Amino acid sequence: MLLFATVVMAAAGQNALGVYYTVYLVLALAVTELFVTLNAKARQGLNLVSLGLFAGFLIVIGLQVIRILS
Amino acid sequence: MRLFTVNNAYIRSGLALIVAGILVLLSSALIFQITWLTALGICLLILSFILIALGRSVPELPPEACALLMETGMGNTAALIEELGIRTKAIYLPSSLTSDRPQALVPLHDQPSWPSIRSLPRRLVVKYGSQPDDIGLLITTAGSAAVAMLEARPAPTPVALESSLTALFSGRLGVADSTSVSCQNNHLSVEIHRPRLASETGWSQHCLGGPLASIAAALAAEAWDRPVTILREDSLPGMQRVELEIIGS
Repeated sequence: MLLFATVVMAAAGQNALGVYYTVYLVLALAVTELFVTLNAKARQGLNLVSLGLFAGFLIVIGLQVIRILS
Repeated sequence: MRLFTVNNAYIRSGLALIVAGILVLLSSALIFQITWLTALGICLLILSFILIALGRSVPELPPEACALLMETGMGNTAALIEELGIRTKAIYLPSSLTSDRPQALVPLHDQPSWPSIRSLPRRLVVKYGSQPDDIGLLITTAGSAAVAMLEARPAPTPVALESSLTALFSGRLGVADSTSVSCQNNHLSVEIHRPRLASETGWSQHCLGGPLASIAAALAAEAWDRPVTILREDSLPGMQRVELEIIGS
């Protein structure tokens, strides 16, 4: 799904890396929440990944805020 | 602390994707300056992290080794039951009535009505009532071990039991797609959809029930904290139906 999203956004001429990252974050969170909610070990590992991705998302937002303010 | 072993297809694929992702990301960001290629590198890195996280949940013991151990254990129990000529149905007891985990009590003699069972010692042969014939075998079943896999003891409601059984059968063991539970008075009807663990026919199966029925009975006993017996077990196309009875008031 992530690779498909890359192809679609690239074909649409998307040039903002933040948009790519945001779409990846939403897709990764949705897919992991939908399909792997039953196994405790998998859920624990995926929660860590989601936390890391969200931290990356905050960095993207921070960079956008700095760009707008400057 | 060991985080994971590399002897796992998920981990190996994840590590390969990390290397590929870093190469794509660096070459794009430093040389080609193409946004979608940089995004592809990030995408590969995200996929690699997800694969490594999933790889941690894959059991280290191969399924063939698990099947070998299970068949050995079940074979020995079946031989014991058949050799003793036991014809009675097993009673699945909650952990509060046994030493530490739910176990199955197999009475050696048929009873018109079940006596009130108090806490039993941790032995193979136990006396569970006041009459001389109240003797049975207290054995560990697949359900005994399966209950330990749950994060919490299920509440005594059909919805909670259904949720726990689905988590166990579908999420943890991968032996069925889903379950549905309905309750009427002291009778529970458990439907196991698309089971992938067949029930064999034999005296031990008649006594203890199939592996899935045994797990359902052990979980029900633990949830209601009362003895449970398997009344019926039917195999239908794409489904297995198990009728359970909660014993006692």
